[in-house]
Amino acid sequence: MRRLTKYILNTLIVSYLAVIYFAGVPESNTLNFRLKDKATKVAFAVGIWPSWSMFAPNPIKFDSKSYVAVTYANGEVKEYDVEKNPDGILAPFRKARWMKYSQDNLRNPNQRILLKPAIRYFTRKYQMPGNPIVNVQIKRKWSEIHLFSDHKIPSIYNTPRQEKNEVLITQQVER
Amino acid sequence: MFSLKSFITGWDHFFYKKTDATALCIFRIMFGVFLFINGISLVEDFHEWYGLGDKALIPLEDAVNFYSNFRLNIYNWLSPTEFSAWFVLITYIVTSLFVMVGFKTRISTIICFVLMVSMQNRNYSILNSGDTLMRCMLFLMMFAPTHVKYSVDAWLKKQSGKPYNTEISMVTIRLMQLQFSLVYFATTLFKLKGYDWVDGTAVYYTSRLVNFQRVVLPFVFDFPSLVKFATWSALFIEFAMGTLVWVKELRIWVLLAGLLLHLGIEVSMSIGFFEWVMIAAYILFLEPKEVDWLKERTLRLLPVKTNPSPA
Repeated sequence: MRRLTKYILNTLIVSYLAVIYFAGVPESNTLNFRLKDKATKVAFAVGIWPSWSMFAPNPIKFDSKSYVAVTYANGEVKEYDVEKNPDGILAPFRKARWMKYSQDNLRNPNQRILLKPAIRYFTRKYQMPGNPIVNVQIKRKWSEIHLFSDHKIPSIYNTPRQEKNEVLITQQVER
Repeated sequence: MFSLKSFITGWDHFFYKKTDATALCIFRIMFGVFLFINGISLVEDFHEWYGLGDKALIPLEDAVNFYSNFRLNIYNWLSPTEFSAWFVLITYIVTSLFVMVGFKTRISTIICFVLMVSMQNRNYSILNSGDTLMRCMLFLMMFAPTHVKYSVDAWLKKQSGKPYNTEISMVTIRLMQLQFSLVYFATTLFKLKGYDWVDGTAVYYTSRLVNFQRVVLPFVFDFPSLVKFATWSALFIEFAMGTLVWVKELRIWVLLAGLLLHLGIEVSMSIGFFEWVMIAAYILFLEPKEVDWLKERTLRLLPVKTNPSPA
């Protein structure tokens, strides 16, 4: 290999490793913090942005599901699961996406931008001829996992939990 | 102490040593299968994830306003129609198939990468770590000679009487290994910032996440001591995959421990492609002799008869 080619290749290798390292690991000091910002911008631009904080720094401690409550003009209220319930051989991969959308993002206060398009989508999806929708509400139901104890921990099988409700958005539908 | 000269020699040996392309090409096939499955599993939910107007949960017209910084996104240059959205997905599926069989491999990998990044930028709300890992590995595959073996390209080249040289430089394999190792190293550092992993209670909470549960392992996670053992073991194996896997004498043992960890997670939890891509990438850490051994054993399990290799 020619010397110049090798110099260029080595520079690219070092740059690549610096970007994936600083963009990928958590900030532990000021230098790291500043470099992370720059490295992340490069990583986004070239399509190698990382996200390696799986179940970290702590796993979430609740199960959460999002629902849509639709009120029709005749007063009837119907509740639907936000997630589709896929089946077949591809189900695990499809389900993982629905879970991510519904359980991680839609309910997240930092992702409120997702709520309005979701309202429009569900208004179209659950319309009934002759019985228009007057109100759509997206809410989540969640239950906290019992705290760990060194003496006795609740069994993995069906230990009952208290379910809680939170309304994420309510929207009147214009006729 | 070591000299600068020995460092340069070591660097050259590490990155530019020649090796056999078998592991890389087998990885391309497995990775192509994942890319293809990823693509076809998007078809049924196409309108929700990539559609327009009120047919989509994130309509294209909203998605283009999500980011202020530059991102590689082909949707910015296409007309905002349903046809273009389908065009991106179908082309992604076709190129992933080409990557799998090794047809026009280099250009297919590049197109596949650009489309994958665009689709991930188009809708970030459905992405998990498996998607991130596939994207980062696909980036490196664009530069790797993944076509020199077990591919239509290699077959065509052989027919023309000028077969590819299957001795390749280690550089892209090393970068893939480093990327792969960094995933474990980074996740260990993130986990050490919290208290559940350090206290040994994290696996208790992950095992109770009903939405993630696949097969509930009986009793294993009902005892505090077993929960702590599982938590600390998982943390240590991840740390080892990020560091100790580079120690020659420990490599195989660390890989076996990692394999058990991923199979355990795959059996008990449902988290998309992540575990499968990780397991497939283990082949990149094997020496050519080990890859041949593994290949031979796997072929013996297949119902087709193979010709014995010439001595």
